[in-house]
Amino acid sequence: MIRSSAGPEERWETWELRVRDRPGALERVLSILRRRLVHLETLSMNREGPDTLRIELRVGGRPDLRDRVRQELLGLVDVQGSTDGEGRMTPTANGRGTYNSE
Amino acid sequence: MKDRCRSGAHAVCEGLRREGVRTLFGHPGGAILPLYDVLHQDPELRHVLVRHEQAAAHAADGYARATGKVGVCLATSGPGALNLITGLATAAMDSVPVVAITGQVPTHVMGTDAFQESDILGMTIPITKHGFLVSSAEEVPEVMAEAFRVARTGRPGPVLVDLPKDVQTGRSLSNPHPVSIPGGATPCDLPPQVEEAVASVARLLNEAERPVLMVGRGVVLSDTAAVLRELAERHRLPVVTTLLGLDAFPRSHSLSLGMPGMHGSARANRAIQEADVIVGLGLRFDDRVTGPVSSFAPSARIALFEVDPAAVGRTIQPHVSVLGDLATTLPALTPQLRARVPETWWRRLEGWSRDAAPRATEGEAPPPWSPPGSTRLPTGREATRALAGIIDETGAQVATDVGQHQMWIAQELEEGAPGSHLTSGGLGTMGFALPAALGAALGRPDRSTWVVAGDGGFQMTLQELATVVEMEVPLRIAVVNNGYLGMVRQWQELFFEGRYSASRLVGPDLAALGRAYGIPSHTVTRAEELAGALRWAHAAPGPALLDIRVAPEENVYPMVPPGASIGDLVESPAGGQPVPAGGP
Repeated sequence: MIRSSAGPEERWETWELRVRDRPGALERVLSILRRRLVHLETLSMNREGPDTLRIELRVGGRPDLRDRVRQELLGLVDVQGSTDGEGRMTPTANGRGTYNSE
Repeated sequence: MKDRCRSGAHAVCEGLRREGVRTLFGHPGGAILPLYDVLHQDPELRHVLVRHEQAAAHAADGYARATGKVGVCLATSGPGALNLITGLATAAMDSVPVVAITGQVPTHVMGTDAFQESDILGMTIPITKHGFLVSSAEEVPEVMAEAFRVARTGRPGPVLVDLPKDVQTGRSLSNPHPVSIPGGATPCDLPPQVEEAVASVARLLNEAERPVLMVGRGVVLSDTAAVLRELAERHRLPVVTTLLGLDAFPRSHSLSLGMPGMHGSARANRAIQEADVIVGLGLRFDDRVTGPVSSFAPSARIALFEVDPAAVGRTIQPHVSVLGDLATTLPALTPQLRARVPETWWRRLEGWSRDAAPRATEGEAPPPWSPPGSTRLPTGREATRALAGIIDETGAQVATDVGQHQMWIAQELEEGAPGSHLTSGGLGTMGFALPAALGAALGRPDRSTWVVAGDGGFQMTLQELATVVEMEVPLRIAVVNNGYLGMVRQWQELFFEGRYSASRLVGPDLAALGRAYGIPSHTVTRAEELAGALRWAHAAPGPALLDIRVAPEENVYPMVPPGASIGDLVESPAGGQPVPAGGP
């Protein structure tokens, strides 16, 4: 279940991901949020290029949990970049994330 | 010009060959027939026809665990693909590289609930590392290359390739040159932040008075068992090995404290609880290992070497984490260590029992549950101790199922080369052992292969006896048969006031069943028959099956009750009480 409210100790944060537009890419992002019990407040998706999507997520949850989940998202094969702390889009390692690094 | 007219199915087989695949496990059906037609004509690819797709996934998993290569399984669309799911989840939990290729209905009917259509890509998202739905034959070469690369790199895992039928028959341009997937180059030097983390771990160990190394499957995956051994021996570091790390460091080694966790040894668990520094190597601090996180290793500063940043801190939050492949990071630690472990710590460690159950030594009477010349059933402990003995003695590999026998074997194995102990650690999948052993035996024909299963798990995938016979795989199959779902019964006895709800099993005569499949089989009903029966199975020229009837109500000890700290384990003087012969 993707819950739409965070507890009083939780803070909201906005993440932006650049994702390769392939079957299952969005579902894989959402699956991680659901499995790891991160709260999702809003979700929007825009096309950035013929093969690229930009997904914006507003998420809540304990900060340590959010950090781990963010790492997991960045490791997805189709996640090619994410915004840094200052809102700049930076590529994940090899476009495939540390999860797949050799 | 002929190459230019190749089909998507040809491109799949070409991709498999390019990745070094020689053996794959599967079951055909309508939506994957074009691929099977090409496979039939490919002399380099050996297809093993399993009797149920779940077994294909487990066999690919077993092949991968035993060989270190990527295992491959095939299934058709709909029910065939869905039957893979348990096997893929098993592989995902234990970081096993598997590529699963599934047929799919043709693209023009996808989304119409066509016959045998299922959204296998969607359904496997949570249990795979990645999945591809291939939309055209031209994509096949690149997808195959990427699927294998994703499966085996970083934290390995299962990858799904879903192939609509028209993609298999569509024209695919030949790719005479290896497909280049960008990225993934192995760095020559450690990044500065990783170097700093390694130095921090070295400082922790150099200052430690009561250090412990905790070793998991990552050491096997990264092929660093020799590096670990050198490190431990040079500094006399105590080593505990998790269930999936048992074959990374032999329990027979004087530095081994055994397995930690719910059914771990007193020495391993108490060492963790008293340690002042714990260095984890390629493990994920599973809840069966830690018990309640709040009471785990209360005095220890914890460091973790881990390849997957997302796995760090999921249960235990380490004070230092070293991110990267152990093959790179562990050798960097070795030259920075100076201290040897204080003797006072070793004297304390040696005061705790290393063995789960007492062993008779030379000149001593045998344990009380094993009187010579009796006509009673063997206990499960006796049966698994004898099995572990012959497995160790012959350098065999073993696949265990899930439950009491799995824990006994884990407690009793003393030796084992990396990749020789196969078990479903994370998911705890009953039915794993037989098909996983099938894959392991085909991948490592140079090793003798044992299956050790309980009567519950064995009955979940025993149809693969037909595959074993057809492929002439010399598996030595031992069913530790107590007529119960033994671990369920144990929990019901201990925590549900003895109400045995649905845990009593009525099974067939397994030896007769084995013979019906054409496998020489025997039933063992007396403790004194064990040694001879195991010798017979070991010497058999082909597959052999032993139905070992054991004491029906016996518990696995030591045991940490659920919810208790791992330091509060319950030890038992013996594994069970003598039971008159007569069957469970």
